[in-house]
Amino acid sequence: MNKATVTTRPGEPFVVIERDFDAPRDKVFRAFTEKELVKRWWVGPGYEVSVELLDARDGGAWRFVQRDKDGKTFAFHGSFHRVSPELTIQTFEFDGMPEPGHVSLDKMMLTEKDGKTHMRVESVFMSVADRDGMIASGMEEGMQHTYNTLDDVLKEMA
Amino acid sequence: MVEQSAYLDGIFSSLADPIRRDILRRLIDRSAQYSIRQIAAQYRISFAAVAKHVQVLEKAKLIVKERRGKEQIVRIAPQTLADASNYLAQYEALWNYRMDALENVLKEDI
Repeated sequence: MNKATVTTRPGEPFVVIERDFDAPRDKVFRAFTEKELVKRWWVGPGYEVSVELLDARDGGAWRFVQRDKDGKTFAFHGSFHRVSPELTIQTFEFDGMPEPGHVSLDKMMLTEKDGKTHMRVESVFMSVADRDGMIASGMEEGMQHTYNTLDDVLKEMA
Repeated sequence: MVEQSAYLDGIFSSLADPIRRDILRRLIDRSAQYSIRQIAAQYRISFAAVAKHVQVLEKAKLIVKERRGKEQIVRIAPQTLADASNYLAQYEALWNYRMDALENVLKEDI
């Protein structure tokens, strides 16, 4: 099973995410740029996503809205600076921040070797605090997943 | 287990506030020691509001407070942040969840 790795360094506003896929690059690229496909995987434990806008081309834009089981929504949006299988550069902003303007710049590179694809996403945040805030929110989701799993176990025990 | 969760909840809810993250950032150098008055001088919000943020951070065990003469001195409690950073693994777990979902899409004849 392929695993995602997340790399950060203390005091630096960067995050690097890498993952290998047993699929050719064109297929992976389509999964990132076609509405119907993104909708199926840009999910998380306990929520689904609606892809309201995905215009994946140079100068295009995107807007995704996540919805959890209680109907709470979390919106994200950004613009595409450059879009190609080799190199995609886009902005990313979570609309739920207390003040707007905490944007990260994401650079995604897909490289194919022997029919498999390596994905490398480098994110640059506006400050270390922004980077840490993003990780903290992800951790909360991760923890939520842990709690949900615990809930399932407890239900089975009852 | 419950106690452990409460400990982590305290850390994460403390870190969820931009001013508290900023206060922590000022204290991140282990040798940094500031009085609450010195910290409050850096913000536009009231002394009382800053003191409250400091109290939240102290309750989460992210900082320690000690009385020195008339002043309360605060400094970072490095172990708590270290514990929190171990939870980077949780962030990785979210990405694994999402990437596994993507892999399932890729397995299909799309």
